[in-house]
Amino acid sequence: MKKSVIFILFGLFLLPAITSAHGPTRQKVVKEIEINAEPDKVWGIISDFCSIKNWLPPVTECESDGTNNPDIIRTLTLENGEKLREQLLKHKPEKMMYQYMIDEANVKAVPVSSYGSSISVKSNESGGSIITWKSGFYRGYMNNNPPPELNDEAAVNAISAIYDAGLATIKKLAEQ
Amino acid sequence: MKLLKLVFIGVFFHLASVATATTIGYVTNQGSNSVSVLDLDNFQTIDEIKVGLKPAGIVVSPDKTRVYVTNPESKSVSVIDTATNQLVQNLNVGDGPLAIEISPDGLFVYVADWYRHIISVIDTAETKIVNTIKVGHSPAGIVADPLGKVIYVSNRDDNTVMIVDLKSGTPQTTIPVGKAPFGMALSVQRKQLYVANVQDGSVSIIDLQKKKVIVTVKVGLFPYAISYLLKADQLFVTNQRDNTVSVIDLKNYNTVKTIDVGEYPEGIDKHPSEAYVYVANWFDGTISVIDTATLEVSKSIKAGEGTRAYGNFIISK
Repeated sequence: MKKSVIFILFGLFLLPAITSAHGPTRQKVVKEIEINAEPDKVWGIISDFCSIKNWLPPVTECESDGTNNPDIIRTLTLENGEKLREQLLKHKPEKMMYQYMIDEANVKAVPVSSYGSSISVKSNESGGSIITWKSGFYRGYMNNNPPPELNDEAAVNAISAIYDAGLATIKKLAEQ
Repeated sequence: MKLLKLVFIGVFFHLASVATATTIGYVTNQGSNSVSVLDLDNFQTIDEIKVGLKPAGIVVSPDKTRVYVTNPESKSVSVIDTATNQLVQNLNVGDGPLAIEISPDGLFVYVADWYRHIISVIDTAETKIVNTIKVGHSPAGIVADPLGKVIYVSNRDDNTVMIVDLKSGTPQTTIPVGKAPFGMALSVQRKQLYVANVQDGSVSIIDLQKKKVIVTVKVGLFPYAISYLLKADQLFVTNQRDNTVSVIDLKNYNTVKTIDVGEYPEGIDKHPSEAYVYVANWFDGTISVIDTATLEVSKSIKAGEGTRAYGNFIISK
């Protein structure tokens, strides 16, 4: 009896510490999908930096200078009208990969800060492809004690959902 | 004769102790709330110590008996005893601890608080905070001067480095550097301080006598931390978003090599002999071992989840 009371008291004591404890911690997401199509075909779908409007459902528009040169900016417009600027860092057709980052955070578009990402295509053992899409980022609220919609979990969930939706669409387009 | 014998024994023990010195790396694992203990002579993990939440910064004491770790998520500093590799204490330090450094005599530990814009000074004998020093916005890096009179602090959100006088507990000089200064390294011989500027992909080289930047060297994307090698007269800089390490020759201030390492390289430190440089790759949870003679990665060691090791994390004992 006594022991259980002590445990409960101890538990209550810990609770506020757990709910209020937050610091700046980088998060990561890695998503992969296998596709029954050759890497060249899959790369053809995603290689252009602005192709994202074709394969990521919430993106309705993508503006850029049309090249894939390092440092170019793409401006995405989302279904909810929010805009997001992303900068291309590297584009390597020989490795079928590119790397980019969010140029200026807009937490109304995606609840993340300091987001950097890369997407790549490789061949798998059965002659098809694997796409890997991954990123490192911070939550949308960079100070202590974030509101729930801008905390670590919200950031990871948002990016995971975007990647799942994008990869599923690429798969569908490639396997048509 | 007796004396000779004693000398022989002394020499023997001295040689034996040199030959058997093991080099140990203490690596913070942000994702597993732990510190991995690596045997760097045999390239393997030998222990794992649970610390606070999301550990990031780390420093080993000059006498090699203690390791101090910042835990941003639990707002604390963990103290590890290196004789037993056990956690001996967690000290609450407040909001945003990240960078951590120790005084040359081992008496004080300095912790930068990202949110409150202060340096907390911890008395290591009593493991308690004895002073706080107001610095610039979001202090991100600390280096203690070997003479013990000042520390250098990089203020990420002010684009400055401060020279902080420890006696008065106040910044005495503020030096403008590049955009978002973070990790730093010091050369006593050159009287220079090196600062990684995350957002403009460069390293600022500060002349500590002139107290200003004399050269800015371009490196890769998001440079994060720096190690200085005395013998080679080189800097090794982790480029977080390039998955590379830039090697800068300090004679000409140019990049002599860019070495591919793991993904999101962060913390960097050297073997006491300077034969190897070790890089913690956050995304991979690995340590890349760079052979400083060939400037190539010679090994990769698996550590925990989200390795950061931001600070000095290597001891030989």
